[in-house]
Amino acid sequence: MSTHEPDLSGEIPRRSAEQVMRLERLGSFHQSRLSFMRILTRRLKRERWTLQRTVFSLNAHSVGHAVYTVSGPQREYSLIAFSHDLPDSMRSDRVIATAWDATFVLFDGTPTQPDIDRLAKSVPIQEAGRLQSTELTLSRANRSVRLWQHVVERLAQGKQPDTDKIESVGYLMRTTAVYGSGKFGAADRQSIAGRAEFAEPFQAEMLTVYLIRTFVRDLVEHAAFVVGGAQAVALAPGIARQLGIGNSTGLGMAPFLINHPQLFNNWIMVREEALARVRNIPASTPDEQQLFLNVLGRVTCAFDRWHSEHPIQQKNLIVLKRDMTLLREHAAHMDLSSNYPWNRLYQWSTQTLGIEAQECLVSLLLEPYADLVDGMACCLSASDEQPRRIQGAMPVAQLRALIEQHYHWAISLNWQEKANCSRAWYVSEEKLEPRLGERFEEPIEPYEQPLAPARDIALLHACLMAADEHALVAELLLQHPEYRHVVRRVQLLADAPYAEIRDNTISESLIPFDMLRCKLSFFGATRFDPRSDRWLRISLYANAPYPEELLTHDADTWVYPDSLA
Amino acid sequence: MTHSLNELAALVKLSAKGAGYSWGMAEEASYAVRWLAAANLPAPQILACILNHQSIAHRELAGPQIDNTLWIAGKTPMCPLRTGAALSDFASVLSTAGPIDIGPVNWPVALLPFICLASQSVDDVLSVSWGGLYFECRQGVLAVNEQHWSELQHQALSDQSAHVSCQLSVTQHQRPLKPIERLTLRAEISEDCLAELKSMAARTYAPATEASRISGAGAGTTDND
Repeated sequence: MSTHEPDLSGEIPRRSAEQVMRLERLGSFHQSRLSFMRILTRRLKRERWTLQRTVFSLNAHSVGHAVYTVSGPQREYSLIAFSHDLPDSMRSDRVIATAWDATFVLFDGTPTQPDIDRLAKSVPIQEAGRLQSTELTLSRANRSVRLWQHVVERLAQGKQPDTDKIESVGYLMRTTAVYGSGKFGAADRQSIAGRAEFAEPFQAEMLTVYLIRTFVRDLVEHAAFVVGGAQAVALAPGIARQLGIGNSTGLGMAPFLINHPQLFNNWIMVREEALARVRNIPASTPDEQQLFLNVLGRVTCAFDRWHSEHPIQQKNLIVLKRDMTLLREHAAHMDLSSNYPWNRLYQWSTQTLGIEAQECLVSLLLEPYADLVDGMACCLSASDEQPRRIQGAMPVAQLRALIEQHYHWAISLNWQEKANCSRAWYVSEEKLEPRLGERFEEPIEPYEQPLAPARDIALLHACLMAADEHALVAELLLQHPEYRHVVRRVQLLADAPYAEIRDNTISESLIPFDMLRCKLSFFGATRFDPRSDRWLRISLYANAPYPEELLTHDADTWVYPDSLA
Repeated sequence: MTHSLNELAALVKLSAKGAGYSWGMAEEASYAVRWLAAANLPAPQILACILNHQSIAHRELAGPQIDNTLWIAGKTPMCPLRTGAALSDFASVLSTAGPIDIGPVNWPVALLPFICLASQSVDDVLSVSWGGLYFECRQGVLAVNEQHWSELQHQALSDQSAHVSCQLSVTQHQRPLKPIERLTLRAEISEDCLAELKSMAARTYAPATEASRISGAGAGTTDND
């Protein structure tokens, strides 16, 4: 019997939703081997996908288009990239921008010239254009002004860029949106969800960004060759690998976790189940210990490259780096071989380290156990095609008990207090994007989005207190259709305990980027850099091998930089 | 111009809210339009008719008043979305003793997605009929004879309100019925219908103010670096 067979007595349960689902903790999550980017690169390597650049038609001003086609066991997908000449004055990461340095579409198969001609009209205008069911994602990116010019100049002179500059910025371009799931006429997720390569969440979007990264490398080299001619050189592969794709993310992403409760539950459930399995391992092998200590060392290098100007993140980074030193020292001296070593280490962390480091440890603990963890990736998905059917035969008393069990924290808040409901989520007429406003200062309450489940469930609870406890939920909803959306949530929680953020999403003290970071950590993002309390920059695929390097490089733990590099 | 069903469902959720339904009913409307569109029925137009009617009524249209096996309307015919949602809610307490009479209901075609939803919570066969059309559903799969289906496709949009009979029974119908499968993942929406749905959805959007432009999305610092 292998020494890492999980202990099947299951003595150590999954962490409770009360502990996990607080925003402060969710907002401290890190990437892990369950992250969508790593699921993708593992698959590309395992199934020996290949990449071909079939078109690279750019002029001396880098205006034109390129096509990159990846081929897997059954299908092909193509990134069509359009490169534009954008004046500096028009470059904006805000969703209200109307022009970008480059625009992209992921095409299902290999595009014909008429496909490319059609997309050349609609992709550069992004939201204003229309796509068809042959298109899977739509995206755009802007250059990092800081780094782009430097890299072009250096390469044109036949030199490599300054590695300090590469490290401090981390990307040559950042995407400002990657749209999938049927947006603007593209194919519904449902139409591709049955394909093995898209079984896990956001795989089409992750593939898009991965291919964009290759295009951006090629584009900067093209620009350098235009300037430097024969003198110009390509990026050294080691430096190129350090470059990720940046991403600016604002409030548009925040409601996702509230609007997809079943999917969110699955993400957290799988991560918590993975942690519980590892904590239940009675003894570890030297190889497993070595792998853990290795990634623990390398993640410290990653944190050294993580910079932020935001005061909250700066403070968190200082504590995180201190905690990681404590963790390394502790792990180096403790016996990791027996007596439920990972559980002992985890428990030590909860008594000694801050939440950021605790959650980092959770991610690291999964690393040596691909065989226990990776197979659960398929459970990360959920169909949102059909709303959960309301169980109308449930008596009012039972619904009330469910609320008291799962939402005690919500019904015990004083909702008359302004501080508990000072915010309101709304969608602005101008750009049709979710925003967060001040309920008592702006005329937005009539337009409030249903993104305050805690308050709405407290209202439902008050209504139930006055109702006949033997009545059926179906009868209640005939009279009170306004509670329908929250009745559904409460009933879902009975078997999806991690479906709900257990914090008040309209509180004065809400920090919206906690919601963004949680979602982005599941993508596999690193270097969270909040630019305010409601938008942040991140890096995707930094240190990943490029498609042509997948077979010869580590396609899994690349996210941890090699300290010797 | 074709739309993805996700796009249509997202639009209808907002249109339904804009037309005056609660958020929870808007979720049901969104489900219904996706189901009807996948079955190749003129879903956007059906929803636009229902929502328009609701929009004029300026209140959440009366659901059924239920008296045992009689679901009766108030002063105006019942809304098919509210009636459908109620059928789904009450499904597991329906009895096989006899049919329930519902009516009159506007655009009864919009009950079909809910009959499917309802049938998922019962072991028996759920049948529904109106105006000479007969449908039955088991475990979420709707079945109909081809002639009735073709009649439904022709008359789905005519503004008929009808009395509907709904019955839970242990056995299936004798006549051969064809299951209605998912036929498409795209929806055709006419420009007029799209404009109508969008204008109802727009009622849920807050007018932009300078404050919201700057602080609402949280930018304001430079992002051009």
